[in-house]
Amino acid sequence: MLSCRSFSWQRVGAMIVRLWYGTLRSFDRLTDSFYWVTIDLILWGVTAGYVQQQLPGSELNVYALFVCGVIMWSVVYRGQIDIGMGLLEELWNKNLVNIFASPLTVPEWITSLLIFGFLKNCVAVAFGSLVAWLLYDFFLFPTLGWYLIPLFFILLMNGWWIGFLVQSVILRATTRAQAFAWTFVWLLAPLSAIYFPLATLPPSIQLVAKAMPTSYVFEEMRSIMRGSPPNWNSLGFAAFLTVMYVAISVWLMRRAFAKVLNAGLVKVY
Amino acid sequence: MNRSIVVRNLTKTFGEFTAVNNVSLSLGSGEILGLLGPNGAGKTTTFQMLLGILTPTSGSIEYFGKQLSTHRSEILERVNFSSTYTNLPWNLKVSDTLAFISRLYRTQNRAKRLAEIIETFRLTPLLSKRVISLSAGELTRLNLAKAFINDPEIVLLDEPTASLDPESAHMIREYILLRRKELGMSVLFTSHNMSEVETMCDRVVFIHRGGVVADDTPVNLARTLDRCNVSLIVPPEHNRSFSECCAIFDSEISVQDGYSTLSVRESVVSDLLAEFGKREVPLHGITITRATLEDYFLSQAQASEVAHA
Repeated sequence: MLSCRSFSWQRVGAMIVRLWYGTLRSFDRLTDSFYWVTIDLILWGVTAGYVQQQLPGSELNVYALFVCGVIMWSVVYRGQIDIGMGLLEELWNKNLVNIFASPLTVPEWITSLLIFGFLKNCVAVAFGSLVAWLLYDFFLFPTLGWYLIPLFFILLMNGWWIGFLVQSVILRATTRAQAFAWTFVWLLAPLSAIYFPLATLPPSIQLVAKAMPTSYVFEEMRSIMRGSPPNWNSLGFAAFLTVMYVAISVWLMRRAFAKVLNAGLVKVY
Repeated sequence: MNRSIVVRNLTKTFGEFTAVNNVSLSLGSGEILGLLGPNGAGKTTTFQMLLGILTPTSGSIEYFGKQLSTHRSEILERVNFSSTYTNLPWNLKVSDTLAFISRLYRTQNRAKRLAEIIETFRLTPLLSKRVISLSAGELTRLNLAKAFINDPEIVLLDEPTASLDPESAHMIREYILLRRKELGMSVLFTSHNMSEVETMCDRVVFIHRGGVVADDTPVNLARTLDRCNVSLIVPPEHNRSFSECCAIFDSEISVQDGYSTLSVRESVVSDLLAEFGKREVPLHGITITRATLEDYFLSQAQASEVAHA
């Protein structure tokens, strides 16, 4: 197993430079950061406008519900795709050997993916907020206030554990399982109760959804939008679950990596 | 001589198959060591274990007196490699690639070193090109530039000149020899170009079916054959006498482009020539060549196949 001793921030920086160039030189990666959030905002925003018209006099702010949901779910999606793609890009480029036959360690690589993913996510959320303001005169930050920060971080970390889980599957099953990187997160979307209260789900599904930290975050997001303060116990539990899931997924990924090293890193294409 | 790499009893098995079997070898400081063997011999597997991208089943790998398994980053910062089984990120520009790799190895005086390496490997016109658009030769030059970017004390080169034109290959060989002379760099080298190995390597380790079958200088390995090749043109009317002579000395004959080439024991060459004279066989265009590393390679591969069968 690659050692986590002699951690170097310079090597983390080097990998961030690699990821930055990879994004800059790839039309796919650039559009990926901005395209989907824009499309989702248009689609759901127009839908929200129509639904709002059908509910005259309703206190429910459908715009806020959908637009906040789109932007905040994109944090989870972006968080996981940046981790999953971080591995897939190296596999597609046959560059995994180059980086792991260098002094780079797995913890340094993970750190670079997390930092770069965080920065990209901040840009994507800012961009999404700008689009929401331009299209619907909707302001994300005033709506959620400073609560946005804990919500953002819990959702981002949920993207991370999903990303590491995806990585461990790809490391074991190689690029045959690459579709997992785009699809798995959507399996968790209904369980996250992004656009509807958790109570809307059938009782048996609610039990499963309660194991998803994202469901608590979106519940509290709706509570904040209604003007109530969030339930910190609930958010704390979500944060606890998230940290646990991140730890388990990183452990799974490192186990998969050790198994790959046993078979030969060259063979993971 | 200080030892840069010491490999002890290295073994790698994949299920029932043993790819590398109890290999021990060492690389001295400033030494160029050739790792030879036919395809599937275990060279690449050994190479991968030396780079830390494949975990050995048993045995140990030491660089600079430290275990690779416990001092990986510290060691690999002083080592680099070029290999045919890796690519560089295809969507990056050449300049991007060099920038990120030089940071990854925490290269000292980065800007100066990058300028040197770009000039040495003639990469200036390629800097704004994407890696995917490079020709095989250009890509090999970029891979080699990557391999030398951190001024490594040890460089592992897997067929470094395979895709290069003769002039570029010569330039690379000269560069390696210069780095060895000036900085005492050690090189572990694989190549299927035997004349290149003979020119470059101080010592050769021959691997076959996962095990080391020989470890010596190229000259000594070739000498173990005790064979040499005698090429000559024999007029057709003397073919019978010629064949009789050859039979006496147990020589193998091959004919190409009008030349007959006899493979005989080195100790009987003078007797063979005397016999030709005695039988009045006229000899034209005669050349005598000692066994080369290539002959050794072929004989080892054949001997091992026979033993295995």
